[in-house]
Amino acid sequence: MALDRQVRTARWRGLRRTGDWTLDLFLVALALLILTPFYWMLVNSLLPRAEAFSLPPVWIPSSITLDNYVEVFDTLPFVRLVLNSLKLTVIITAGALITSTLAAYAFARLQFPGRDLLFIILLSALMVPQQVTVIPTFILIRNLGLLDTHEAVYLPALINVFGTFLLRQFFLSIPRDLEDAARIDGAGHLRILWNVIVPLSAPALSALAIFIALAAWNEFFWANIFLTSPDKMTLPVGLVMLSGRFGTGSPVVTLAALSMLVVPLLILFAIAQRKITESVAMSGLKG
Amino acid sequence: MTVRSDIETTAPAGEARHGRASTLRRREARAGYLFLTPTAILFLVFIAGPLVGGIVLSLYSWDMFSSPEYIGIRNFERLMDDPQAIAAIRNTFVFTFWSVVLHLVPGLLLALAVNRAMARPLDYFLRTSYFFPMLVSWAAVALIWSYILDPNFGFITYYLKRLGFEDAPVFLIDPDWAMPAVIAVDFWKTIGFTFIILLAGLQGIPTQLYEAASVDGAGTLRRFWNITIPMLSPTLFFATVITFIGAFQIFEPMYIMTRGGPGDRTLTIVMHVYETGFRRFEMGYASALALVVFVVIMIVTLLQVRLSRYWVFHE
Amino acid sequence: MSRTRATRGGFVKPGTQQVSRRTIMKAAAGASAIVASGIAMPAVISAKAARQVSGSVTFVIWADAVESASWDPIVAAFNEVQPDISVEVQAVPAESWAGFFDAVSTRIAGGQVPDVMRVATEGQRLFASRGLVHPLDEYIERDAEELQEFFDDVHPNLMEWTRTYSSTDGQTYYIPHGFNTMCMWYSTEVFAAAGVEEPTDTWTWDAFMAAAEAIGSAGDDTFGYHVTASYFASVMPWFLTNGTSTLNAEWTESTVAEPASIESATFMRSLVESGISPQPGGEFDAIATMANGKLGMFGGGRWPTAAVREVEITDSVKLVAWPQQAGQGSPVGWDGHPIMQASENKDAAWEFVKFLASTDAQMLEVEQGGPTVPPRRSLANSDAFIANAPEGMIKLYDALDYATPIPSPDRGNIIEQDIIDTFTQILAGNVDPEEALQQLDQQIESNL
Repeated sequence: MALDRQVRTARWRGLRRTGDWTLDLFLVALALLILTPFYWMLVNSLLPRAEAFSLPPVWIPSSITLDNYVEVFDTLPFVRLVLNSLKLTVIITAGALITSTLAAYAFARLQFPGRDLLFIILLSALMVPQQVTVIPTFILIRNLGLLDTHEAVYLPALINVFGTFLLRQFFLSIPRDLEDAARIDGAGHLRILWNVIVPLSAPALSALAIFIALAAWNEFFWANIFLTSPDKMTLPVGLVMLSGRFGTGSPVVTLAALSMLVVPLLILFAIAQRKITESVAMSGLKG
Repeated sequence: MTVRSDIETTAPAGEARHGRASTLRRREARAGYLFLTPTAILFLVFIAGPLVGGIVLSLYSWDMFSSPEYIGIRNFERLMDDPQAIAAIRNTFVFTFWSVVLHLVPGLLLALAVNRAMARPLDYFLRTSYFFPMLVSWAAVALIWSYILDPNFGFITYYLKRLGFEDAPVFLIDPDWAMPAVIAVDFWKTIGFTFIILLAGLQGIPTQLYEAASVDGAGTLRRFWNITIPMLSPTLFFATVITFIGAFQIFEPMYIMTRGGPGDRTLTIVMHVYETGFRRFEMGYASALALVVFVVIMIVTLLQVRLSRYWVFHE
Repeated sequence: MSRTRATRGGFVKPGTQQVSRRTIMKAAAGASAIVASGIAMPAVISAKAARQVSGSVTFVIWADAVESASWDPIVAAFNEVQPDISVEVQAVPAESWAGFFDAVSTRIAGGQVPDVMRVATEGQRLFASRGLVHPLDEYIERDAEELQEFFDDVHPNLMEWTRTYSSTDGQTYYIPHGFNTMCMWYSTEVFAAAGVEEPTDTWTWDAFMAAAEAIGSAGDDTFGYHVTASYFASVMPWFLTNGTSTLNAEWTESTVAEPASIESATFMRSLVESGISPQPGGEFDAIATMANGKLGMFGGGRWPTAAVREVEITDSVKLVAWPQQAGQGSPVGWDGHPIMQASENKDAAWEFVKFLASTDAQMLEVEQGGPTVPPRRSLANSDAFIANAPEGMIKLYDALDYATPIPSPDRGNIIEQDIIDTFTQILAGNVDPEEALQQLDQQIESNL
């Protein structure tokens, strides 16, 4: 409770002092507007195909059915797909967070010859259109003997240039005096990074975790090209398997599957959100 | 080439004794390289390697199936009179301009509006809602929107007609509306990105700065210009660069929703690269096009880095 | 029913007790046949295998979850005949032929070439002209006796077209497989409600227009017919029944700007303009709308069958030949099975290709409710194909007599995209049909 109040005072920031109801109202209306397409998706995924997509649009269905969801479970090995996707998402998120944090710290806080040049070179990786490296990457993975393995999907994703860049910018904005105490105690760079920088960067780290996890969870292209065995497939690939060769799949079943795809992300986001809020409270108190 | 401001490069070492300083410096350098090792290995294998492959390909004529034939810089010469490439570059700039403006200005406004004292559930709800579309893949988003924008059964068209816009265009296939429609859907889907980044940046600004300023009697606007903007500038810089790079390589929404049409109205440069490589089976020429994209982005980004010296504040 | 589920290992989650409507109906359709073929048949076939070959074969297809699951029993049946050949079926999911082709061509370009593929007409000539596929003539000659039964059963046009269009040098590269032609699907209930007589196979554009108008006049949200910009399913049938096409018979010249082509395009536009058809540019669900009694007709091959079952209107839907102006017409697109040039196990691959042409293999495919018509006349007439499907399915097979192969030159994918783009604009009324087709003509010419 006490902490809670602290949080609120700590978060008292920029523009205004007190709650402005018109602004609140506007923000809520905007939020609802943004969510409408998803609500529409949810509603229609709960209707039989012949009743979906009717006019005027149905916003509060009089009766719903879970048939479409049952059909998804019936057609796809949904649990296996979720487990595969989850495995890849966890490995990629954890791995990429570690490599980006280390590299970002080096770029933001350490002095060494060639640092800025290396950073620019690294950054340039973001600028290469993926289309041109598709075939060389495929040949590489094949030569590494990784075709049809999960490694083929997650190894290249362990480097995250975007994440390194994001964290570097955040590390740069952390006041240096906060490290001084640790430095005087003779702490090594790894300890400074872990004990000082990481806790202070929790908002950025959790935001980055969300971005990486999102990309990994939704990744379709590489998974579809590298993974050929059905038992290795991921959820986005499975979803495409719902739409038949001549577009014969049922659109409402696809909507049901999409709804299920979004739910785990929503949970993850809720957890990360809390992390962001808490860590801000922490840094506010400490500072 | 200096990315950071010059202030800090010399500061800490100055007072220390010479020998100790150089030991420290060497230790620091070692730590730096050590910290970079995982990234460097992965970079060399999975980014530099394929990129070199792409560069080599750009000097060949290759249909993906027969053996490649070396043709030197002919692919680059061909670029000069490719009307589709020119249309694509124009479209890409239009998209990029709107994307950067829309993501930064409303993105910052939203972040500022949410970053203030408000009831926790409301705060939670707003953030989740604004970020929500980011959670869903482009394939899903495109499917949902093609239903929503359907001229016969889409609810947007339906309500537009109810509001009296009887001649509401069929957005995704109308030559004048396709690009604005894609820009709008892209904005809806990705505004959560800049919103969350800038929000995290705002939250990283130490509260004491504002408190001290308040004690000094600084007003809201002055606190915004003197504290928020400078303290947020590294994040703003990041958001600008990333939005630009992302927008310049925009591909998925066009690929899924409009296929570059109608005509070439929504054909972007990376879309053109893709079509050239995978549709026309001219992988060599596609690689050459992609390298040009790479160089353009590189130049603009370096320019942004250069300019950032004048406005990005580093502690 | 439990028998069906047990055989569908592959992609379908085994052991679940939840059975969807679709599964139930599919099972009902094929239950007896599966018991017959899945258990009894292999024993018969195994006696036939003259030559035992060993090796492994990868087979790449574009298939959805249900279809890809149907391959386990087929492979099992093959292994009864050729126990020493292991077959790996790689189902590549995709939303379009283009998406499928991206994945496959990346793999091929990267050196991972399958032994056998299922290639649609769109890719057949391309693969042949790039030397990706191996000529089959020697194999066909060697096993002529064994294949005679297949050649007797398959529609001769399919073999003929495979030789003419799917090859640039007169050699045979593919064994033709399932195909689609176009018929008009109509709802007898909607026709009855509007007081319109059901059509005959020799009906004209005028008769079609009168029927569609009568149905569409019921209200703003009721449509006589759904016209789309699809190359195969809409542009081609309206062109062909007017005596024109998109390309000449040799696929060397564009004919989209011919007067008859312009007439067809203008006619298609008039369907939207008069409100007979919903507007283009969206995700109009023709089948669901028909189930709601608000759509009279849509064009289709075999593929809408599953969806028609899903919305439970199988009994009230029928197929009729496409209405004609200058004469009968329908496009045809078919799958072919080649042996890939890079295959290291061509003998084993051939055995698999040959097996896919057998009655047993094709029967198993038909029972799983595949989206194409079997190339064997005997199977197109079989209960497994006709039962639990709209009346008139056989008309899709009959259309082979007068059908025209969908023009698919090397850059057919680009041309198809241009055609779809142009017709979307024509149907939406954003452009003048004649001008748009003149421009399309030039675009096509530049890609030939």
